[in-house]
Amino acid sequence: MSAVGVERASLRRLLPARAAAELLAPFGRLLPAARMRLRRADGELHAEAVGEAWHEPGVARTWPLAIDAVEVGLLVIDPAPRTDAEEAAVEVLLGALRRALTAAHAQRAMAGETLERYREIHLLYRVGDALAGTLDPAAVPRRVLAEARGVIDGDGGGVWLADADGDGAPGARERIVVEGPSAAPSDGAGLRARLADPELPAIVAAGPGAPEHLLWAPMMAREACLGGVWLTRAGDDAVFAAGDLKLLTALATQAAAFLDNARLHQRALAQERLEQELRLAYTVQARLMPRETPAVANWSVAGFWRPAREVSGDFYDLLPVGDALGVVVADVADKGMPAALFMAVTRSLLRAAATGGRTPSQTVADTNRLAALDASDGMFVTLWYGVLRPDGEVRYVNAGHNPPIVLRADGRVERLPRTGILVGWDADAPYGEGVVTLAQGDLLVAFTDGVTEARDPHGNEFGEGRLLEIVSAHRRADAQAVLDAVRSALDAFVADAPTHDDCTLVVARFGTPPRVG
Amino acid sequence: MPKLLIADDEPHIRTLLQQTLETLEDDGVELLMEADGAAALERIRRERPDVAFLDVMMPRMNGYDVCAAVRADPDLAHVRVVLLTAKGQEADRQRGADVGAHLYLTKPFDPDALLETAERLLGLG
Repeated sequence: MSAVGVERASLRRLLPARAAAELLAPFGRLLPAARMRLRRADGELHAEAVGEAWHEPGVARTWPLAIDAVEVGLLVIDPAPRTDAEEAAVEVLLGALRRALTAAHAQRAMAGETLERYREIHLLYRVGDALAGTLDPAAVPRRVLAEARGVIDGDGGGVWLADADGDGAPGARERIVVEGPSAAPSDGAGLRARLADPELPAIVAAGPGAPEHLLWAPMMAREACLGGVWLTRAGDDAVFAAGDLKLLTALATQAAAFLDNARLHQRALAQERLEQELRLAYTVQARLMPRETPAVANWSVAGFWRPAREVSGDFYDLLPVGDALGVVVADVADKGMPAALFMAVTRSLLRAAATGGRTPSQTVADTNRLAALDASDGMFVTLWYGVLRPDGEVRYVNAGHNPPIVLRADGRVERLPRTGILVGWDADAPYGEGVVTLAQGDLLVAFTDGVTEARDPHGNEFGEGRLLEIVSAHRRADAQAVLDAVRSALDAFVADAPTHDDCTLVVARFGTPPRVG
Repeated sequence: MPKLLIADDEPHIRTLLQQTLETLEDDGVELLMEADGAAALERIRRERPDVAFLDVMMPRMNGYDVCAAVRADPDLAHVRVVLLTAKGQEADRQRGADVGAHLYLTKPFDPDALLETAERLLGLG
């Protein structure tokens, strides 16, 4: 690798020959009998000035010229000064030479430092260019390692990645990418110590148990340590320099930002895929809700279902049971995809169990037995299943569900209490049956707790009282109108507050002609 | 003896360019320094360097005009001209090409790339 602008001090670089000759020339008058020469550290003649009265070489005297204790050349006065005046002149000349060398050295050091910054800037440009558009996190480690090895001499090197989820904890699912002949990650106590404390950049000299010198830079992004990059080098004089560490740190920081971005992109992609799947699942699930009400004499029925997220653990179902109508309102004790899957299973089991003239209690008991087999991961469902007969009789099972409300035409309120425990808990649980008979103008309202526990922006619950109030106010309307009134009131109440639970509501009115849709 | 001319009105940049390219002296290359465009053109005509690194924005005569004058002189057909300009003014690149510059480099320059460029243009290394 070239070392532009950072080589050791030399007379030739510090005081070019022409400038040196110009500096010596005026001293020819002060030392007329002398020949003044500047020799380089390798002995070569660099510049000279000859006094007017100088004749031939005599016994010379030399003075070393040094910068930072490194000899860069010699001043040779031939013959050696003999008088005090000549000694004084030589002192003045030495002073002028040393000042010129020191000033040039300082300027060169500054320029060297600036060139180092230039080099860093361009390294970062280059890495930035190379990694721009890299959305694959796996591509970053090899790239950063290749760039590091391109700018810093080393025998080998590696990249250590902390937990891919980015918590930075060493040892958690760490992955190491290694290149080069002598960079096995187990090599050396130095590397093991860095892996235990990865956030500190370090130059570690070889020592007992560590055959190679080590250079370590952490990959920090958003104050988290995503990993680290290291280079190794063998040889007594090969310890890494501070400039190497600065470069590697700049590189590692740059790489960390790209790694972080690539990971965020991957997560966003995964999230997008998941959301797409959920949207699809919603479509599938929405199709499971009744699209029309099977005809049953003397009843009008309307239902409403709204998931809190894309998919729901709530459902309602309307199924013909002979000349009667089976109504299910159910709530799986969870939300999201697992609840949605369990909801679909429960719905199918109940539909299958309801056939063949089984009573509500037999239907729910069968459903429960089969659901309990599938519910090993703690998935349960509360449900109300009632069979609405044309004569107004309702036989029902309430499996741990909120008691539905019967609002009589004269304003009295009755509740349909639990007749068994929630479905899926105990395969052998017994389910009793309740019976209620509705008369002309009576309303039956079954719902999930998402309705009564819906919250407004201040955190207040909608509550059963409010539900009852609205239903009462509309009790002379048909089922769909009652349902619409509840839904509007619920929407107005919740306003823009976040929805936490699925909402399901079924309203059935006895004594009006059956409706479709 | 190959010659390389550096022309930039900014003394610090001149120092940086010189310090970057001075290793060429080990290969027998003579470095010539100038601080404005007119002086650079005069020096090019006089010394006929192999390569000239010219800052674009220089007093008395800008880098484009120096380059165009060099290109217009058949005696200087061998001179390879590299224009240097501040980062972010790459739009001027076309103008550099139009006046016959061999290369167009931006400042802050990459020291390693600059040295390699000079070596390549001088036919060294």
